Amino acid sequence: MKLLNKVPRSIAVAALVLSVSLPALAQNVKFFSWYGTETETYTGQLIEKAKKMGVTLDVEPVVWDQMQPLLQARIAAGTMPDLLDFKGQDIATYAPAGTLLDLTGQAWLKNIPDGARANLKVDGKEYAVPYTAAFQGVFYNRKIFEKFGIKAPSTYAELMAAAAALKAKGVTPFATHFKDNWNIGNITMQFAMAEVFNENPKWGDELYANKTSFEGTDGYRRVFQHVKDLADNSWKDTFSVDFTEASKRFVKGEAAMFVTGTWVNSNLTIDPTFDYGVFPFPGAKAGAKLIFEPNHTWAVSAKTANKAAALKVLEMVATDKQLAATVVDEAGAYSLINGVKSDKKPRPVDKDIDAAKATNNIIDVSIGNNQIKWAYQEEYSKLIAEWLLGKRTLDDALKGATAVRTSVTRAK
Amino acid sequence: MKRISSLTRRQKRSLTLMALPGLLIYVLGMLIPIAIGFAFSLTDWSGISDSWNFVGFDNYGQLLKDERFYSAMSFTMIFAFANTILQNVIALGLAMLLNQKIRGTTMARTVVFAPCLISAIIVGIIWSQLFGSIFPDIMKTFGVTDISVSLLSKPGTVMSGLLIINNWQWAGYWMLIYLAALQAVPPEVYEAAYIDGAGPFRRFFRITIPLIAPAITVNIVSIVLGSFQVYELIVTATGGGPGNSSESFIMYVYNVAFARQQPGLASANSMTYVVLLFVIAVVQLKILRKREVQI
Repeated sequence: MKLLNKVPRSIAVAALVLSVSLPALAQNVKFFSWYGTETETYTGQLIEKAKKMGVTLDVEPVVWDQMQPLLQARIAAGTMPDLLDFKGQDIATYAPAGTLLDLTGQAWLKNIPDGARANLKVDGKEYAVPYTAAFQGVFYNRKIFEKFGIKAPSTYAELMAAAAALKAKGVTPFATHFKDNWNIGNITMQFAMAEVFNENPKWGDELYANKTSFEGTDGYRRVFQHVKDLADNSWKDTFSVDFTEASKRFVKGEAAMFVTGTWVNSNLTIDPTFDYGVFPFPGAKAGAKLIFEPNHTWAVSAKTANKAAALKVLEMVATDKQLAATVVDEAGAYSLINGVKSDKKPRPVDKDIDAAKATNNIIDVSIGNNQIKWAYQEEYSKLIAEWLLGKRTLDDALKGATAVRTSVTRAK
Repeated sequence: MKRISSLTRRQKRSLTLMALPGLLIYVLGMLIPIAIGFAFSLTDWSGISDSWNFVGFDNYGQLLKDERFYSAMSFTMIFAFANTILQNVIALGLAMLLNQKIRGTTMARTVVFAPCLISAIIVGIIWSQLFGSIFPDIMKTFGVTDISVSLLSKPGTVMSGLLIINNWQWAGYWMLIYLAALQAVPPEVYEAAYIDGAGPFRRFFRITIPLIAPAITVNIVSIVLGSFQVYELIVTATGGGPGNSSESFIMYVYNVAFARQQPGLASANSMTYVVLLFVIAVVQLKILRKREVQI
């Protein structure tokens, strides 16, 4: 009877001990992951490694197109995730609004090169861990170039001469996919880096200060014209073509060049025999640089209730080379963590990228993206599309692009 | 039926209690969100910061100066108008055709109805592939290269493309409502008219239309309101493009809220839209109810 009396008491004591210790044993971190939709192996490894550190990672995979509205809805509802994986260009939007944790001084940040972190600082403070890079430029079919004796152009005039030569041989010079408005936005910023931001790195700030305009900047007039030149030298049905279709056609040799970024790698390497390279999009003068973009970028919510756990995961991400190598292999990405090497065979385009890095012939597109944020680029891309389709004149499109500054506000 | 004033106090209390749950849902689900939306429309909130400023009716002034407000509104109104006419005509035509007692009508009704069960997102993806690559490839196979069927890739034809898709998806749904209404019309009425010498057109316009008027009211109001809210189809079929040529009003509000990060302005747009839709619904009901006939 005495033994039976002891049993309920011991159960109660055990329950009390467990209720206090269990939460401390496994901390829950909500993770909003753009990678979650591209890399199952990487995400699985990430969850396992976090578990071993006593952190339960609750991953919510998000498709890139839905990232911004979902994140903003969460912020508005007060349910912002603890850990985020978004783009480098988003730091300039979210950090000034006070939504991101200041990471300045964290020792493990030194695992990422200063050059990759420099343009993501806001008022001298660091809020981001840039994890992977994308490189942008003119991807080209090496076989077609060799067949017709074409060398990588170093000026815009040479590029157009190459396009004309290809057209004369019955080869479509450029792959484009203008059904996706973002294609126009992406290539426009690529051209602007060579034609505008190379000459004036503060052009965007001057635009918002009413000191300049799209229609008053010759560089941007040339930029818009470049988009038209690409459209004129691409498929007639480009406004019906999406990214996947364009990649497919490019691999099949239905175009010789593709102005895009290394996110196309996973589409192009489906055919292991497809040999392709990349060169910087040339400007009027020689000396254009290959565009580098901090792509997947991690951050922590400023209001997280799980700060220690989230920082633990972030430290692991910034230091675990094996994990970083997994994402290189699975997503066709380029790691920004020092010393990460992939065991897989290099992609055909890697030698051109390595050569550009070795000679410091790269430029960070964050310079442009931080000043003219993506929402702005999407708006003027629609105006460019309307111009290409004959609904506006070039001057209308340029003036309309200037007017967008009143509707796309800068971070407060 | 007793008038409310002649009910006892107890009966009135019972009726009030019975209506309370519905009223609560209406207040919580409709009135309070509208009030909150209106409150946000008077601020400059960015959607991601903790603070905002009261700006009065500035957002309402700003929306009236936005060219995109007018283009999105104009697109949506034309879409709603054309869709309402087309869908009603097609649905009624199909209902009359499939109201015959002949073999295969049940299967035909199922086939016509089935598309409305597919998500608008999937419908948009399917049709953008059909118009973008499948139909052109088929035509190329038959040697037809000078006619373009890529309706969704040009500003001049994108409206037609979207109307085809939307009618393909929803005509079968409204057909069922017309079918039920047609089957409720007593056959003796048609027999009497036939005996009196009324021809098929006269029977249709003098008997069928007045007697199925309640169904016409329901369909017209529903199609108009549904067309004004078109969004998912456009997201996957065209993304609002080419350019802004197929940006519906809801898509415009969404872009203002999340792409431009101006939820205050987006709320002002939404409030304006709510008022507009309310007025349209009330006007429609007043006009259409007058034409209803009951035997």
